[in-house]
Amino acid sequence: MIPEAPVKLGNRLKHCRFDHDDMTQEALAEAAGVTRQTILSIEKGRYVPSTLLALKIAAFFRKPVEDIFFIVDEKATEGGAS
Amino acid sequence: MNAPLESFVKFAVSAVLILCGIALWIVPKTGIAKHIRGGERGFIVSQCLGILTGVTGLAATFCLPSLIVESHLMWLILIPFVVVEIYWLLVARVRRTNAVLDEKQDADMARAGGLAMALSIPVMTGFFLWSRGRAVESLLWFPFFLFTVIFLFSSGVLTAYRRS
Repeated sequence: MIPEAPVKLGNRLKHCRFDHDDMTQEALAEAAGVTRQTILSIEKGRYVPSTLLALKIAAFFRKPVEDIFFIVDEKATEGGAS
Repeated sequence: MNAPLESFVKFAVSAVLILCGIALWIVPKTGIAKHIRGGERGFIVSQCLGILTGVTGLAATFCLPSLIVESHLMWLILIPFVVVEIYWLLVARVRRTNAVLDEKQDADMARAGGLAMALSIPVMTGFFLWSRGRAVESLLWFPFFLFTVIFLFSSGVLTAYRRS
């Protein structure tokens, strides 16, 4: 089911880094060909990576992209919280 | 008109442009090329330099209007900014690609460009209203606009980059 807006992109990037020998943001940034600031922004949910970058990151961790990035339905979250 | 200053400015600008042209031509062919990276630090320094150039230029426009225009002080103030732009051109040449920034930096610059364009309208309108009825040198419009846009763009990029 495709959720209605508003939606956000959630991620488990931090967990993946920690599971990967406590990899630093800088090391992941270098592996993905971006800056550390970009990785930081993705982890904080402030920046939505492009499809290409998401696939690069998933390929690096050898996981399906859906295991790392997922849609967060904010409406459902608010309803659940209230 | 300040003749010594004008001569110095012309010499300095010419020398910088010639040196930058030589660097663009020679550096990619030498061992220095491997040290030309760009990167996050270079990106932040570029924006800081843009902000400094904008602020200095605007201050000089209002405090030294005759020097800005008649002695070409404007071009002297622009030199560091131009050198930074040439540096990024060099990065592109060394890497043999136009993609010298990552996708987030590209997105931040696009957002800052739109913001600079939108904000420049009320700023220039304000300058227009302020200058009516005042004896303002007509040639000041250009340095005021130039340094305003450089300041707005660079500060917009840096803000977007650090906040998001």
